[in-house]
Amino acid sequence: MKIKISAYALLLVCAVYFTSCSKFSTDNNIISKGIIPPHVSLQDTIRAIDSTGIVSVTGKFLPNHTYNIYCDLYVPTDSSLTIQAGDSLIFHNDAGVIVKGNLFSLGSQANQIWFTAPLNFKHHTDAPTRKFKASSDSAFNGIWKGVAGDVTCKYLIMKWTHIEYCGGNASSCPGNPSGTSIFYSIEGGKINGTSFPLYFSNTNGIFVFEDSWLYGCPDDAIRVGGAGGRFAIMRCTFEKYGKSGGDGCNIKTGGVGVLAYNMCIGGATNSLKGANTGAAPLIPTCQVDSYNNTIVNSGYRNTGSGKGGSVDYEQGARGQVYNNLEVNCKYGIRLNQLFPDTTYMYSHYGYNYYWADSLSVANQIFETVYGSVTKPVATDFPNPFSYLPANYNYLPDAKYDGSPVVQLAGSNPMFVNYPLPVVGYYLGDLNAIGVTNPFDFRLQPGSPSIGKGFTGFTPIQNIPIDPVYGLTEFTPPGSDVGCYQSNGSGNKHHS
Amino acid sequence: MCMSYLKSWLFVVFLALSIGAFAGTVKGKITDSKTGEPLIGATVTLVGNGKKLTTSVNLDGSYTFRNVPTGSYKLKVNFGGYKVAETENVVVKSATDVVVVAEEMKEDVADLGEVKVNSYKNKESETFAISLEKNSDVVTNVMSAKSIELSPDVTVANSLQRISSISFQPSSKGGESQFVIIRGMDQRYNTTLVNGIQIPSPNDQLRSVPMNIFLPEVLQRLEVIKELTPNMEGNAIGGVMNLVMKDAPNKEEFKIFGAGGGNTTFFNQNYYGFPHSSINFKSPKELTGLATDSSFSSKALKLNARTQPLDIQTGFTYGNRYFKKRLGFVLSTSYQSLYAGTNESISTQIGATAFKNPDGSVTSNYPFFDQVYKNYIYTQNRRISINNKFDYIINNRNKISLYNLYVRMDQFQVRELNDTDINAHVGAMTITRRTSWTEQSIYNSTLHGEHELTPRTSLNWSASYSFAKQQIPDLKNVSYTNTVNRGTGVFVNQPDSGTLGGVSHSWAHNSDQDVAAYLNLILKRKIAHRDVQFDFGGMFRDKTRDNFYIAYSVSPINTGVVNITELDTFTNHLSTNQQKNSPAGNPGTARNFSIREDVAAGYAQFKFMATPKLQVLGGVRVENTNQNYSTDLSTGFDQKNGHIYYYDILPSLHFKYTISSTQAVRASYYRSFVRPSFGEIIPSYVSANETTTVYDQQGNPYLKHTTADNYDARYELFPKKGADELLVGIFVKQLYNPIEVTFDHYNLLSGKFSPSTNILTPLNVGNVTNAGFEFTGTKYFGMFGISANYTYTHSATTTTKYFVTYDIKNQLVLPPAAVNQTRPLQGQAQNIANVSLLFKDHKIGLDMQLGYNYTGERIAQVSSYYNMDTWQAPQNVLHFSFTKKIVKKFEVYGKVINITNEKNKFYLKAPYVANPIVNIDYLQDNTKHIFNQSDIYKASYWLGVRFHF
Repeated sequence: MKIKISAYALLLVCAVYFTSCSKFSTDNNIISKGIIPPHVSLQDTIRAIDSTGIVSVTGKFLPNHTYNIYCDLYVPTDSSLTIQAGDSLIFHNDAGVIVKGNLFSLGSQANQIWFTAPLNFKHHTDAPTRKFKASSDSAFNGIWKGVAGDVTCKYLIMKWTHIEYCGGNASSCPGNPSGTSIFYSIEGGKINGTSFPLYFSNTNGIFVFEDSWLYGCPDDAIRVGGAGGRFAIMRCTFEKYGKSGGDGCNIKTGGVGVLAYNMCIGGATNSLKGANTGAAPLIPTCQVDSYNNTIVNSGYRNTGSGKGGSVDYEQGARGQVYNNLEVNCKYGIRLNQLFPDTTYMYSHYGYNYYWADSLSVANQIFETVYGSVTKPVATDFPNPFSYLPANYNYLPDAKYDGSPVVQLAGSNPMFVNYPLPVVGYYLGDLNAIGVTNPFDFRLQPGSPSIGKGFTGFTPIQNIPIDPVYGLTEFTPPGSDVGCYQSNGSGNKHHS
Repeated sequence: MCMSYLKSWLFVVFLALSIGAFAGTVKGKITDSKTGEPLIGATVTLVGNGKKLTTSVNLDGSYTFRNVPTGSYKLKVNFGGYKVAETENVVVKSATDVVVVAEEMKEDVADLGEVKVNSYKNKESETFAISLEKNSDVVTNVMSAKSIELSPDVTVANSLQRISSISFQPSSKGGESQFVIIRGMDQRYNTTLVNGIQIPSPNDQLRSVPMNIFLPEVLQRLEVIKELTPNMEGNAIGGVMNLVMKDAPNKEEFKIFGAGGGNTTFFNQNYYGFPHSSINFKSPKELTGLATDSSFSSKALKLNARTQPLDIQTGFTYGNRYFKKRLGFVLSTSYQSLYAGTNESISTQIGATAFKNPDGSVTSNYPFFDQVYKNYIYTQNRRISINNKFDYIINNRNKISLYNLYVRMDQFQVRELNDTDINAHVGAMTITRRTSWTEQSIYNSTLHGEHELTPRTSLNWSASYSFAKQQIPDLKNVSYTNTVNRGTGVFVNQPDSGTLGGVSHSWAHNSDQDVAAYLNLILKRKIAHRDVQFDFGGMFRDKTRDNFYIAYSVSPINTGVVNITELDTFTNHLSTNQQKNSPAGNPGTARNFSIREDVAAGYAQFKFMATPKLQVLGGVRVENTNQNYSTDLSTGFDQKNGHIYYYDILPSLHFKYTISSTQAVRASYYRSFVRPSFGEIIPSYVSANETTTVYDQQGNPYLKHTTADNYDARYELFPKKGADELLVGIFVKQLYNPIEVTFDHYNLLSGKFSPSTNILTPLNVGNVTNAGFEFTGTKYFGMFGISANYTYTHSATTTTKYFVTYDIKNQLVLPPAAVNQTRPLQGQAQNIANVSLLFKDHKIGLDMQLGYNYTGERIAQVSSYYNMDTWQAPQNVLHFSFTKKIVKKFEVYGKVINITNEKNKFYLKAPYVANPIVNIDYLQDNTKHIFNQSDIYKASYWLGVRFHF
């Protein structure tokens, strides 16, 4: 009996002890941290100094200087790297720039900045070639990666800067060929995939690309992705962007800003695109105001049909779209079908100007494939109601006959040096401004595009005016359609 | 042949000849003299009056001879493993006479001098299974090989589902279930043992062993152990599945079977397969380092159509004992080739949105559908299981045995995915053809010794080596696009043709090698006049796991519109470095890694009778886990390598109170844990288009392991007669740091917030309580029987979700707000029931079983948006099987599964809102739910024969 009682007592004590005690398990971990690249000073030739294959750089490059860069550059968080007027940065072997801090490329009209490839890779074969094949043009070869701004990048400011031959292998680490660069994960890319020339992803950061040039890339030219950002892309020139797909400026959720006064020629798909893919708390809806852009021959290199050919808003993105001059683009302005922000959009676009050389272009001013729901507005030129059928319902696949507006008399924009209609070449063959006999898309006096612009709207202005930390000039809506204004304002690139 | 010795009997006098115009009855019970268990199936003969009558013992242990003419007879009883029992002078006096002759059979023990071979009680029988349940120290469900044989089960995964509180997780890979859910806890919380040893998994992400890799014909029995004692490894919270393989028989035995059949999907549809021989097993990276154009073959993309392919199952078992029965040997193999076809309709969402309806009202937080998939999946599963055991009886006190197991499953699959974009590019249809060959295998070899050092001290040990591996060579995906005119519904291009996209090829393989040693010491002592048993012991296991992955994307030279049926003739073009396609390939982000895991454990356990009726078992176990992982990540990333280590102290206490010889009550407490799976702790990042899910996935090395306090109570009734049983129990589990895979917007690898991406991430959620009630009952009425089980489970966890609203004033969809939602654990169904109707007529040798399974609704996928979890609809599945003895050693059997063509259906618990722009056809068949997936896998039939020598 005695034993029995004490056995029970012992059991009871154990039970009470076990259920009340909680320190029966532990969790420990020691997880490695990434190695921060070592810091080097800005010399004429920049190479890697250790096995990370990447170097940290801060400070200012000397003005009017040429630098050869053989490995990835890394700008640490809260630091700045400034490229001064007249600099040439030559990137070799898939090098790139990882910006966790800030990057300022402050060129001027007289002293422009070049982010480019070594001379032996540059073959600006921009003279028009019949039956153009992107696979034989070095513009799409991606000699170096590009500039990727991470979530901590507060300022990515570029003025009067040429960015060309980007799009190289996103994980390539030229400073240590057996290693991998973290560049690819900043842009959300794949190992051994292609890069974007410019990437920005900081909701509260500022991204400015003004009076600059972007030439040649295999996929998107500029992507504002991930967490978005405040941006202004104004008065720039885009040529040969997208090899067999890819857009010009591709703005995702969280991107809020303006695409204005840009000269876009020869894009693979869209030139200007807003897509609000998958929202999350604290990230604003994608909002892009696209106005006063000139878009020529866009949409002829995308192998998937109907994905857009000039301006595109989808998945809930919104914006004000006015005064764009669209010449021979594969498709007109496209508002995507499913849950578009049409309630807003239908009252915020118009005064867009179309020129069609042929019936195939005229029949797609209102895109009839791939679910576009762009509603015609009378302020467009030519007036859609003059050629659309009476009960046109602008829902997907609603076809119409565009023959009344093929080479419509009195609607030729009359460019200074770009004959319309195009003779002797396919539209996809003319995809760059050119060097020896450059095109000039300014408007001759008497052009019907003059005075047709709409200035009665307020575009997004969320970037301070500042020579370093913001926009040098914010150009308000112009009274002429397109990026060149007859009073000399607007895009400043012309020979 | 069995030797028999005569002993004394009860003698009854023969009556002299009497004209037996009228007939009487002779009946009785045949039982084991030692345990009193009925000997079902024993042969009873009544000889006399120039007649010989034969019958068998029923499930309740009784035999009956009716219409026996009056006279005197000799009764003889034969049963394997027992001495023949004879009763003479069984006299039937008159027509109404009922003579009861019961026999208690004695085991047939071979007397070989010093060696005593324990009798071969039919360990594969249902009665043995029940005796194990009754006598075990902890709550256990046992399913015998005999009952699996008689059931409609085709793989072990099917058999497990028949056990109480077990359901299975639906697989998107062509309908076969792989992982089980025990007591509402999914595969992560359960462990698989083979012959008591933990085995590694061939799965590249999970620790759990896919249960459909095992064929039931090599089993002796299947145990599901729901409580842990200190001498068992502590990593299970739901339960432990122990597959006990066949033992060497007492005398020579040979069994062979074969069956054929098919799946009814192919009655009006072809099966499409690809040529296996065209697969390159090694990737270009492993062969030469860099790929070239000729590294990639398109031959496997050409599909061969077959009408109604034939399913085959076959196997044999041979066993014997040699050297005066000292050395036992058994070899059991089973082979199976099954074809299945599944039609899936899935629509995917990318989060939620809100909008204004035409009538001015607002719909908030509505799923934002973007793709509609119609998936045709053709699968061939080819399985082989080989089990071998040697056991050698050294002497009365020492025994040694060697178990070898090899199981392998090859799955050949073709998926034809039609993806209609209903969002960004409406009208575009992308057709993706995917061919894959997944080979999984597990090999285990265990040496085991049992030694009786003194009559009160014994020792046993095991040394085990296991190797599991998986290979998926040259997995191909090719896609091409065709466009549908939404107005006319007509394709722009001809069917089977379109604009060719790229082709991707990937190679993946992983291996898991375990080396383990166990040592247990058992001491039986007397303390204060009570028998107490002390168990001490420990184990050590070293595990090495390696994962390899590489992917390439290739463009065909043919551009423009092509005909997909000529795909195998296209040449491929792997472009140079700067393009999207690269000869170095894409190794993925941290998908090449290795892990070394060392587990060391020790325990102390006691068992004694506190009162003559109350057994107490208790003790404590300590387990230490040490893991080191390394990945091929760039040094610039965080988490490239890691060291994770933890220990657990696991006390337990089990009570068993025997109310009577037929009734008992149990109560238990035990503490246990589970280790996160490898795929969860490795910081890999897998993008959506590389996996079967439609979202990105990442790992999380900061995961804490889950621990649990488990409480159990069960009442058991095992009536003396037959194989009846009644088990009623409740359980409560308190989980700390459970892990759920949910959507996260934080990219752990880059350390950045990626709000535009939904990334499936394993995270520790708050503590969860899981409680339930289980009922199991089996009752036989002569030839009929009914077996049923029902489990009710309840769990609740509260997590933060996003809720999206619409701002009418600014006509804007607002960024989401955070709200809380409570829901059950992923995979846990509130109600599960199984009912089987059984018919056994031993006289004509017919066994039939009709099985019904009900699984209630459960969460299949957790969403990060409010009320947008994907639920699997309740399922009612019906199976049937029969076995008929034709002649003495030959039987015919048949199985039908999914008689009613039940589908796997999934839905969101939100009402469908008709939108004039979006019309997703098949979704709106319910006003309460939006169905977003439907899998049809139809019924399958088999017919076969078995020989048993």
